[in-house]
Amino acid sequence: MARAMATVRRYVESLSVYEKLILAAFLVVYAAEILYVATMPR
Amino acid sequence: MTPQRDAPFRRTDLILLVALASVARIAPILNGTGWTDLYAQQAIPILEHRNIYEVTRSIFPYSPVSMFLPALCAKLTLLLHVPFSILMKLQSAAADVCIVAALYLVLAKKGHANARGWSLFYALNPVSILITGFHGNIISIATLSSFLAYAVLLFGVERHYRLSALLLGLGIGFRSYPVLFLPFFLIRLRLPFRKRMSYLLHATVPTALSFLPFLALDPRALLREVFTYSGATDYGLVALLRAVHSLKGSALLYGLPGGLHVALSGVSKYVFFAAYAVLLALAPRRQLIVSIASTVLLFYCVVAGISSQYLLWLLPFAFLIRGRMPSLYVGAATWALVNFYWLYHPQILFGRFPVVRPPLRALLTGEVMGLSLLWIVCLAWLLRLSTRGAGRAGEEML
Repeated sequence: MARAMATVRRYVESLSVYEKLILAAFLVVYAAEILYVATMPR
Repeated sequence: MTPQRDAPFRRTDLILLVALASVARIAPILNGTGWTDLYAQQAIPILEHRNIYEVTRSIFPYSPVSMFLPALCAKLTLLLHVPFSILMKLQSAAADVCIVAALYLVLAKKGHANARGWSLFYALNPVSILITGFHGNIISIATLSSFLAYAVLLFGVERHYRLSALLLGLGIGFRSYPVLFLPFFLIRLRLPFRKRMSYLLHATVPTALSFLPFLALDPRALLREVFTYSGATDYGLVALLRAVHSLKGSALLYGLPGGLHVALSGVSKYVFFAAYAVLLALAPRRQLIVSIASTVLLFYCVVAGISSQYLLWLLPFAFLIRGRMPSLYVGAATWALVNFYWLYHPQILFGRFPVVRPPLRALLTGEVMGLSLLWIVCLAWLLRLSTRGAGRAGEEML
């Protein structure tokens, strides 16, 4: 777990500001989708 | 005026270009009526909290990345009291204005001759003004992303390959077509194998992950919508055939008689992918920009399902190649677009002004001529790229 976290941290640190912005936009979309699907009336 | 060599980048030029491009697109937006029916149809199921892939047919055949945008605009409409159509069209126009800025930055910073002139031409070109300012289609966001994916590489492949991949991935997420460019990036970029794999993953995984919640919800509905969409047959050879049939019968047709329309549409896809395979085989010996432009031109020449907004795909790349062909393409595409809108969606063209209705035969004749001219220009450019590449103007491109 600690190794995985360290790998993720190294990856994030290697990203430029623009790359971080694009990935952050995708993360917002994922969060919205998960929330949307999870709360969808069945 | 003699083109200026090594024209320096000037901030005032950039501001003036952006201002001019904005005015040229905002004016028709303010004159427009509520032509964004498609986006309203996309927003409603989301606002009603339903699965858009399940409850609609060919309304949202894309990845979920842009799914919430129309619904968000609908909410903002209530909050800001700004018409929904204006909010949707402003996004389209903003992306196109960003293309103007990006084009100027690339041409000026790379010291290309007449960077200002070419950027001014793009800022005022009727094709993108019609598609973004009048029609208001948000495909321009995908066009901007795919153009930036190419443009950043001109400032260092090793330095910017990951940003390029993410930008291309964003374009693929918005509208699927930039995925056609991905193999060319992977083939042409001089990168070690590990970095090429990194490019592939950065360009595809973000959008692929966005499918997961809806795949878990209803995989059949999602796959049906995303993989069976064929586009509208408004440009290209099949549209030309439809226009000829319309002219012969002096009646406006929306399809071809019998099952011809579906049959030709299917055949056109096979022909396109066969020819696309040839472009892939030629890719190692050709410039990346030549492969990208050739793919789009091949699509215009062969595929049956071409909607108006698809004519934007080529433009920013065309303006980097420069030469004589972009002007011919803009001329032919403008004719075809104006004629098509006038025939099928005059409210896009006239907005709040009263619609001028010339005789149907005159418009149908114009449709046949406009579509023929556009097809000939696309084919001629495709052949020219095959024999001469990007030419002298495009020599410094990747």
